[in-house]
Amino acid sequence: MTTLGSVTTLQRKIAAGEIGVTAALEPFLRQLERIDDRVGGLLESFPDQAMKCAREADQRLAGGAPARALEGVPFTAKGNICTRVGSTNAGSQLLRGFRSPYDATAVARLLEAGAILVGKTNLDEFGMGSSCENSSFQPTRNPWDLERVPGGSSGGAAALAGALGASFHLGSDTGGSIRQPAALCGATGFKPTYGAVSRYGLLAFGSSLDQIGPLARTAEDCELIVRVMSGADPFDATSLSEPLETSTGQRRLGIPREYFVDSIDAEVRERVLAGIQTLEQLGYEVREVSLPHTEYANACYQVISTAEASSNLARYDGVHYGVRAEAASATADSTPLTALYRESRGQGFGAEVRRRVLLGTFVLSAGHCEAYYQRALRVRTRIREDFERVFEEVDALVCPTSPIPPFRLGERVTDPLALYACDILTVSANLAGIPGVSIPCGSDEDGLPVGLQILGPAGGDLGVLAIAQEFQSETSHHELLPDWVRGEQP
Amino acid sequence: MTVSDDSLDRGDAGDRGGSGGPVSPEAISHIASLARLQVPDTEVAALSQHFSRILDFVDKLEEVDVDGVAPTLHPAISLDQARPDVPEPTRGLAMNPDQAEVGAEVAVERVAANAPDADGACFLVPRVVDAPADRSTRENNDSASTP
Repeated sequence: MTTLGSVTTLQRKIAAGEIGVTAALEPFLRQLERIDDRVGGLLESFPDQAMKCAREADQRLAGGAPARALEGVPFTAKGNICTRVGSTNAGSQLLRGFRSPYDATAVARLLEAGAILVGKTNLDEFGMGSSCENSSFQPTRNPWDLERVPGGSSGGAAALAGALGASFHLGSDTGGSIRQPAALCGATGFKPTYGAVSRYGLLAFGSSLDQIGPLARTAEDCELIVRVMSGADPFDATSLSEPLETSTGQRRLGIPREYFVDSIDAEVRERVLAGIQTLEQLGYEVREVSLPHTEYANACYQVISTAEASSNLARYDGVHYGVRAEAASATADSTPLTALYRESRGQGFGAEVRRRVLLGTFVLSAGHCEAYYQRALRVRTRIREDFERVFEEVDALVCPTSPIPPFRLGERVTDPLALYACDILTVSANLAGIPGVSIPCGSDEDGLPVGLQILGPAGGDLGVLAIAQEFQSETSHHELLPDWVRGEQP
Repeated sequence: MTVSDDSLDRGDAGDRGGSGGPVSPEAISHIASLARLQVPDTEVAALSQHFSRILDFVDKLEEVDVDGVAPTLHPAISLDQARPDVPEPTRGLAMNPDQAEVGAEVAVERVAANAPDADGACFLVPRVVDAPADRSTRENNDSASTP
């Protein structure tokens, strides 16, 4: 087994002067390129720019400046997170070539803490998908089996986090888009409490669901990264002003019985139950609990997320950004301008985005808003109340992240509903706004990773990560690497 | 645009009522027009099928008793970001420390640079205001089509 360097270890070595920033970055960039040649997780990379930042950091340190919290740590940002370097295309043809005039707040804070941006990662278009196959640009492959999907929508980030140490990869999670791909790629992925990290500069999909978070190797790394990114931001009115609470004495774990239904793959269930046993051996008290509205979560999510998406994506009109349809022609029922909107959007958006924008438009339209959207908002309250009630009894919940192991490329892409079923265990956390982490807890018979999910109450981010850290201190699943990657470690 | 609710019904019967049933191709085309989204004719049938399936799935929500339950529009624990009511210069792009000197003009240029068609600080679009003669024609047409 190869022990991978963690972000925490790399930062400490740099701070102690054991290794220079440039000296650490150079082999990392080579390794990144080698791995990405196989998995296709990067939409773009910035090796020259990154090396320039590294040299500047070395100069700062040589001049006696103290090492910052993430000094010299390489990271990537998902393609829907704004960075001034490179383009921010959200995996969409419609935004091909879009260059953000500013950095997302999360990115700006990471850069200020000394982290080095090395690339932008692939995703399902605008974050809509669970396999990364909805990217307009390229498929991304699972490092554990290159014929399988990495999950999504943060599939590029997960494929890299599953194969690379000493770095981290920013993702976004609207219905599981950090946790599910992390589970499928053997990485650790954390979705913070809604509002813990500013959404300023994250291309909006479902504004009441979206949250930025890290994919890395360990929960300890995730904590370090979230501490840097979190906190109130005047550019996001929904960002929380309370600092992350330090966790203390969380020993009661709930096993929600609705998360172990028959549709969960037998091997996934087995590995997760074994992981729960490990937690019991660590002294956690485990009891079964019930979240009775779980079975409605996915339907609720489909309505709310598409409704919000149809509104958010209205801004992509062929006028302000991206690609405009050529020679849009007015018809009997449209002016030249509406024709331009229609054709630019119709040509620029991929099939899944079009499906969701249309569904969202339908559930918000006069005559259907009450039956679908308003009802879903009320069911959402029921789901939130389930969690609130259960968190009076237990400190955290433990369950599988993905109901199934990574599937083959192309296997589910033709059936949207089969693909939506990948999210049944993750969407509830977004609807309720609570934090959740996915950590590796073993492999199935084919050697494919299985993820264990820990959910906590809103604001309980550090508590969730503390449990994950204790699990990882006793286990080595998070240290495993695919054979082909291991052979190439520098 | 005048929207007739009748055209949004899922099926010919008109009444949704949780009974499922197909979403007509005409309804799909109408939603597409509301969404300002061109859908190729070849995709309408498949979309109509997809809509029927997903709405049947979503109909599950009708099982939940939501009488007297308040909607959750947003999970934010607190929305207490109000700042003192004191004028503050817009920072715009200056949120990044090294961009503090970026002036408003440069900021606008950078934003406009992403537009498919722009002239300085202006976005260019096809003509939207009819010549007076055209306008009266259109108004007549509109009123003719509105009951």
